[in-house]
Amino acid sequence: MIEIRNVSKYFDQIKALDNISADIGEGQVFGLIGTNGAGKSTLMRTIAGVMRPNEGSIQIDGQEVYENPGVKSQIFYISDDQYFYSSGTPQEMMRLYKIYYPDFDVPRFEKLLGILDLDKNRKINTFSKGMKKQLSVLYGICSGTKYLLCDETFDGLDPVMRQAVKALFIKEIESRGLTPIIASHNLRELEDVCDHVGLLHKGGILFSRDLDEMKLGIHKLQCVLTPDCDYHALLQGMEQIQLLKEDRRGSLITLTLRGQAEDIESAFASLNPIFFEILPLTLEEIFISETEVHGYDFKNLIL
Amino acid sequence: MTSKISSFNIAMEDLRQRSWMLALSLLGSFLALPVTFLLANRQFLSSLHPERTNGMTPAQWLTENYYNFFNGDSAFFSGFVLIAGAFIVGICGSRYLYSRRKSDLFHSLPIKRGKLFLIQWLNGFLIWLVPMVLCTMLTYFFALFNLLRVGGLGYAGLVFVGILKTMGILIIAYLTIYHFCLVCTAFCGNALNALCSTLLLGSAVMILYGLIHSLCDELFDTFVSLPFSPEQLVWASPIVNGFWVLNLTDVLDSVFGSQTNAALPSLFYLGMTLLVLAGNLGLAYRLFVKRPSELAERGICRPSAQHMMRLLAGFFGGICGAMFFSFIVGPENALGWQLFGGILFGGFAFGVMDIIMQRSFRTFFAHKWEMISCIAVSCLFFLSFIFDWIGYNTRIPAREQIQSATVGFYYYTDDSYVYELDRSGNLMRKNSSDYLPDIGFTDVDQIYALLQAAQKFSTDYNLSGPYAAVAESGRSSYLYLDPDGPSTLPDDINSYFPRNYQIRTFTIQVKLKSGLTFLRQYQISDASRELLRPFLENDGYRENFYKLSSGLLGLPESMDIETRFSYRIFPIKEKTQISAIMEAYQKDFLEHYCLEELDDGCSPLRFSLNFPGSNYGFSLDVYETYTNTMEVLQSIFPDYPLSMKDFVQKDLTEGRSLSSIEVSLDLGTTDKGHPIPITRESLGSYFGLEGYPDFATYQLQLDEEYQEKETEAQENPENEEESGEEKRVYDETVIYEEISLSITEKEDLRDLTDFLHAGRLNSAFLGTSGGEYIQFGSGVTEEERSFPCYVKKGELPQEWIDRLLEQGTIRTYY
Repeated sequence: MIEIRNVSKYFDQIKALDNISADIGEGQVFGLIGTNGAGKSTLMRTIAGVMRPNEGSIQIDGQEVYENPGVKSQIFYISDDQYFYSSGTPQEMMRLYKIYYPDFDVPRFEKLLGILDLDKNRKINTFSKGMKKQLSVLYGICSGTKYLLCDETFDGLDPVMRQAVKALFIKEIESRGLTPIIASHNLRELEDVCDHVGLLHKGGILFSRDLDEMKLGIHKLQCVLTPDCDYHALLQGMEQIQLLKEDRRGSLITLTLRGQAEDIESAFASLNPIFFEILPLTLEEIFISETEVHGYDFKNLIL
Repeated sequence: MTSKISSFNIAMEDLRQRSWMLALSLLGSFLALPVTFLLANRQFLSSLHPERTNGMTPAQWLTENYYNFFNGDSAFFSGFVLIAGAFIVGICGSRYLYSRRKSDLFHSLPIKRGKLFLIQWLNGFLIWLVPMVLCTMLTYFFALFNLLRVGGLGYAGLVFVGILKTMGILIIAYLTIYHFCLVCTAFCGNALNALCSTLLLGSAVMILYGLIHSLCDELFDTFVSLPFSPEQLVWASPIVNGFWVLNLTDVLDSVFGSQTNAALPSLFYLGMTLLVLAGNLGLAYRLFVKRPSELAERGICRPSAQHMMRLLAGFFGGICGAMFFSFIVGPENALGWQLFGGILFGGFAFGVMDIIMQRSFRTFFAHKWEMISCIAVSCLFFLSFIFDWIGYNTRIPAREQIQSATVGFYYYTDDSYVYELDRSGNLMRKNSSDYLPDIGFTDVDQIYALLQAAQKFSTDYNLSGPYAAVAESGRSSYLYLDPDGPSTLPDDINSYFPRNYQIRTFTIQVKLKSGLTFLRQYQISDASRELLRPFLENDGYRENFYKLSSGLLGLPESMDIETRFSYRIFPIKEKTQISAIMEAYQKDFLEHYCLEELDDGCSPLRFSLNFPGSNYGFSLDVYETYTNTMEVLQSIFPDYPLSMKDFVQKDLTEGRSLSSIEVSLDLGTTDKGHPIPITRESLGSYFGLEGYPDFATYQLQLDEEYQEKETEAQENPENEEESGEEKRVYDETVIYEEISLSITEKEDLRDLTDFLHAGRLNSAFLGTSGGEYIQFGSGVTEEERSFPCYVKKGELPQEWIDRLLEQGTIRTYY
């Protein structure tokens, strides 16, 4: 289990991480989503032991990560711009990883290379961006570590390859309890594979919870109400329902509400609406709604 | 994770990625050693002839040359490979630190940073060491093969010892530079910053020492440029020390040799070098472990390090700029240019350092106030030397502080007397950093009197009163001793200073009761030489500076006697003769040993002495007053005249050798720049004849006459006075007059040699009225070799002055 407690990280005067706390359980597929400059990569690098937090601690299975080879042997970090030897081949990079991860599964690696049609003797600097990402994922999977940190790894992959990698992940998760932590902007992809998400914004964590639970807790309601309906007054009196976002188009009202579906349904039923329907939200819609609450609204970005 | 990570595998992988460094190291070592050896060996083998081997057997000859090769030539080329290698490996060996991507990879791997550092450090050392050792061994085997051919395998051990010594020195030099490069790499974000930090911080102490030394040497007239050996400080500048360590052979010889007194400073240097070397490794380790990954691709992270780099660059740049313009413009009225240079160079260096650290040209003026402060400090520092704010030139220690003193004269020349024995008992020239041994002179009153008299005069142009007049006279560059001089100068300063004074430089080293040393360089005129005599007559001075008197030299195995007036050389190898000559010389020397420093003397002969096992020659002057020596020499060479007079007399009767005496005299100008005409009176004064005023007084009178005539000429330009043989020159364009005469008649030559002296004069007080000997002209032998001839003051007969005026040719130069 990865325990992040009150972690803050500064770069000179810039606060990249602000008092972050989160837990990542074993066997979870944790999706780390966040706005631009939220601190996703910084957090990933801190978890990987590349950087030391200025405040707080990050522990894996009860031990500090930083400068702890025993703990770091459980982690494989794939950065957003992974380094390979300038004139190296996949074979040569494998040799490097095998030294530091002695349990590296060489036959599996070679097999997967063949499946993905990557030439092990070809210079990596001739690979495309997507091919390099694929290669990074293979190294991560074959290293046999417990935790796999992927910083925007999926972003360079074509749709078919994404599905292939997802399938690999799922297989690893099922077979040996791999715990991937995936940072990405691609919320649609994360939605398919993650079961737990954390949302970063301006160095702080907005929430970190189970995806299904999150979806159960936030809903989109479309309704048409009679002119004398005052749903604001209704919602004000209801603590278990929070209005996150409101959008009117003619008589069609679209509301994003935090609360249980049953409570929302019964509340609006009492207003005798002309029409209402509760719709599930995508992760993207949840992301937008949550960040809007904290002032990160795309409408503000449009001049 | 059950399997353990192998450090060996990590090391091998790291070496694979640095294989280009290994290849370069191997190539460099190969060229520096086996190839250079094979080239040199051709010369060694071609010189294997009895007449070239100085009596050594071929095996001995080769052994000596191989030993010297491994300690000399090979060390030079190996040193070059070493220095380049240390920089490349130190700055580029851990270059993953300069890249964010690489840092992310290596710092995410399951290995402690300290362990990773140690593995890379060891690889960096082995990358240089292994090729060097392999190539050295290969070269050694080449040497062994050649020794075997000449039956010299028994000397193999000696050569190997030389190799070990050199290898030890090279390892220390390499690690000195390598470790410091690692330190700088650890706090820099890119290679350029690492290189600049290495060079600047690694040389800062020695740069500062060099600047202060140069400023003192240039601007303090009393500064003596040998206060201490650089070895006492160079260890604090690892980059400079890396070069210096290559000279460690002499240091090791003194540490492990018999000269224990000389060993202490060397031991200190060696100890500090090793301490700094180890300290830098520890510091580099710590910095590597603590280094934040986010430093990659940035300049220098820490603000304190940035400040230090900028300030050092600006300060050194400012001082160098001021000195550069001082050199270009000259010392007179250069203050404005010096300040301009200081501001320009200081600001430029400061700004460029900022650009390098921030990696943007826009940051040149990013720290304006800091730049201004830095430039101001460097200018103030420079001005403190210009105006001597610390009173270096004028300060002397208090009487009650003085314990003892030493004076010395020979600092800039390879003087014959400044010798010592090396640990093999061979004669060698004294180390220039050790010129003033303690002679144990403890008469505090005399020491203080000497210092006080020196302090009376100053180069400070800002002083008022008599010193301002000194400055105006144009003779203000020196300090003079004249204890009998007035405390205030008379109106006519020209009557105060002796005419055509001669000056002599000496150094005084005063040991103080506090343990400190006061060391200054002063100058004396001929009027004040007696103040120095007590020091020179001290037993300690005689023993330390005159090796003859201390018995240190022993007997030479051979000697050559050379006459200066005929350029004849007489070799002497007979032991009894050598012994007799040296015994007589010793006796004469002890009676007149102050001759070189204080007294006037003429030396018609010189000895060249050859001591066994010494690479240096040793020469002694024989003065005319050395009667015992001349007697012994004449008894050995009864048929050859050893004075010019006898020589000329003899050769005149036998009709050979001296062909002429060429007289060429110009009397120069007075102190006020008036040309001295060639007249009876001027020549009479010049040669110090009775009935004529002394030359100084004559010149004063001449100046007054010129003044009167010039005033009259200005008032009445049509009138021109001429009086008989006393021709006066009022033309302002005249520079000087010269008289010349060639004397070839044998009878005339015989007459002249009655009072002419030929040989070398001591350089102390040679001259006109200042010295006892006055140059008359040059003797020319029939082989057309010339030698200077002198006449003692007052000894030239009047008739010769008349003859010069009658028969000589007077030329006027405009």
